[in-house]
Amino acid sequence: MKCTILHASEGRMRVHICQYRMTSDQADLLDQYLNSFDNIVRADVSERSGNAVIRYRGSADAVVHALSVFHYDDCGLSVREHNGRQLNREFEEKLFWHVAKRFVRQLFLPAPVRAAICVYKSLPYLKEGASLLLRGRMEVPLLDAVTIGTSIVMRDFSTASSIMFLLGLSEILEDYTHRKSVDDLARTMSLNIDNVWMVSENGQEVLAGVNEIRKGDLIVVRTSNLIPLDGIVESGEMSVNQSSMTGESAPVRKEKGAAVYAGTVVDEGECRIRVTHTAGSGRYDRIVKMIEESEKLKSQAESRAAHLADRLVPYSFAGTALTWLLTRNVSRAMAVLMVDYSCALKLSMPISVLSAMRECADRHISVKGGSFLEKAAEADTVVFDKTGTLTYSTPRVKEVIPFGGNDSDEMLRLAACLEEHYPHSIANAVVREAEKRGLRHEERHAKVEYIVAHGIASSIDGKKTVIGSHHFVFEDEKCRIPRGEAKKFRELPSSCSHLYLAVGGRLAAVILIEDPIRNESREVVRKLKERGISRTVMMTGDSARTAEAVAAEVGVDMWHAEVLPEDKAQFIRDEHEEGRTVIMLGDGINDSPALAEADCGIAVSDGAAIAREIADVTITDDSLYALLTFKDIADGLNRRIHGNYRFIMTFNTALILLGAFGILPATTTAYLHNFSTLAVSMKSMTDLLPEA
Amino acid sequence: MGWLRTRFIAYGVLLGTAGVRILTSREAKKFYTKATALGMRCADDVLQTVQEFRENCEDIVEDARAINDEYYQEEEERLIADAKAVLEEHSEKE
Repeated sequence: MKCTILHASEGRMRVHICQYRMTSDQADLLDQYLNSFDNIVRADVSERSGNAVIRYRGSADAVVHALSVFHYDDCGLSVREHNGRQLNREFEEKLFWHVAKRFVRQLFLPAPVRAAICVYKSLPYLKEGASLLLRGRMEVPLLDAVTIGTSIVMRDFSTASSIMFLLGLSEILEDYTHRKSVDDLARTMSLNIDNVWMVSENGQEVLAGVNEIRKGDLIVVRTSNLIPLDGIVESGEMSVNQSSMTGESAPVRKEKGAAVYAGTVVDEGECRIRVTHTAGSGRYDRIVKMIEESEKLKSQAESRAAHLADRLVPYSFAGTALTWLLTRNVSRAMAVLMVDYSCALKLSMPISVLSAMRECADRHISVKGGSFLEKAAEADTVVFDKTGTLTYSTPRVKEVIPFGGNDSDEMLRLAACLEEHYPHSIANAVVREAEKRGLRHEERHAKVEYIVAHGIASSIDGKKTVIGSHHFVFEDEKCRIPRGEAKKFRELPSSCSHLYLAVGGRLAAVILIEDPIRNESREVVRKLKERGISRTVMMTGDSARTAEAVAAEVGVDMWHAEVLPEDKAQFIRDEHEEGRTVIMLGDGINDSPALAEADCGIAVSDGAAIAREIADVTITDDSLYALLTFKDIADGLNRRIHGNYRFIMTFNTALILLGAFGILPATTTAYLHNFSTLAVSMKSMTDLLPEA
Repeated sequence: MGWLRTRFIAYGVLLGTAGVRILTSREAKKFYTKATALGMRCADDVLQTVQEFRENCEDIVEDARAINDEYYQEEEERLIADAKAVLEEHSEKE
């Protein structure tokens, strides 16, 4: 593709694409292409100027080469349906026309015509103000209506029209920032590609990305899976939690012929589903809807700000009246009326929150509502799950120790056969090891029953087979160690987690699983303490031995082992009794009650879909450092909101005083007030953390 | 003054009858369409200029940063060179 370099400096180049006009689609293709290279840090393509600004690492020649081999037609990429460009274009044009029309009117139209237009445009504002007055409510639009109305009555058409111009401008910008924030957030979130079990032509189950599934394909969903696409049940039966769609939390029974919806979670059971709608804009729209609804989960600060804004309106009027009484000067009174705290507060708060959520999304953290950021900033206790959170979600099988004369490979094969259906990280380890050793199996088992946090039970060839924790296998199921092997049992190394496999009531094998702690766990816990978390707790369903070792290594203040899911939730309730705010991190089904109970529940993404559904925040990044980033963003947002509040109050109070004492005329205070509002809002859209 | 008034009334009548007809005719509509198209082209031009202006500003900021980096670099080297000179003088004296 032919281009010219307009400007080059260290690590940055600005390139003009030599074509007459660039369409949005072409800009999007080039954008995707450039951003797919490792050595290109960031590329921005503007279809208006036909330029691409590229920030890169390493040699400029590589970038030039990448540009030279690019063609729109055979780059192999397709235009992204939602890429924010149309939104930008729409608003640029709206803004342009708003400003252009004003200039044209000011310059070309005669005064009487301008006055008439001014009166005509003021009618909607006056109508709104009048209706508020009739209902006896003193809110912000009333303030606007009175300002405009009094200006017109005083024949000050230029003030009235400049007020309306600024109001119109704020409205356009407010709408733009709101829609852009929601769009950015939804786009980042809809990029999360899930994997889905698909039934291929030869009946085998294969794992495929959700974007590869076509209409008419058959997919399989099981307990705790998220149903990824709309479809109709072909076979099997299950009960589905549809609360994310309908709000009812009671599970709904689905059998052959029933319709299922994307985004709902399988409570229990297994089904094969024939897909009726593929992934695509459906997902984006769902996310936008979710964000708009989570706006109802406004943080306390935001709702306090909105209330305060409305409560201040009567005071604004009172201040104006007072000024007029004391100075008998109407224009000074007007100067006071022009300044209202409310629009600044009402505009900057939601923007700060949405921008913080978008920044989190850029860093692979998806936050469902502003209130969770607020809670995270206030938190003083953090509860960690062990497996998959403090440890990598990929535990490894170290060794299989057979009992009762069984062969270790056979036992591993058996275990894999049972474990492969469940998304627990330990189950995955067993399946992987079996694959590694080349052990294949047919599905010899009957219905598999998963008992949360305990294990799996089934029957194979008529004999009851169980696999799970010590508590489950020996106490619940009352299995026995084969004669003469008690010593072998006692000598099992305690540094690893144990998975017990028993057939027909007799212990058949113990699978040793080592669960490596994440490299960053220790440091993350330390840094959390530095940031003001006074209590760090680890809770796990695993045995006390391994828990103790991990807790010592990671440095948490307290730890509890062999904990049931309900106990985790109870612990959090106890913390609430003490008046503490709790963040909970988990990844499994057994963390769901606790995640729901916590003030801010964070799911680590490799975990069960149900954890991600219930959690308030999801971290898709593979590192625990993301937790620190999240806390930093939460703290930064808190500081920004308080800072904005202080600035708005002091600046506007100063303007009021200056106007009241006649130092500044009414138009100046109006302009300064509106520009400061815009400035605060624009600033609130910037990133809270320096670019990492 | 009476004639002025009458003239305005006449203009009003003219506008209301023939004037409206002319203003809403097909030919007039074609003219409006062309004018709007021109207006939109104008908007595109202006917005393109604005975008280019913003990009140029970014270029300027980048170059300014590069200049400052060089400047600080040179200052630091001069400082080190000065320090070395002082040390050498000192050791020569001894």
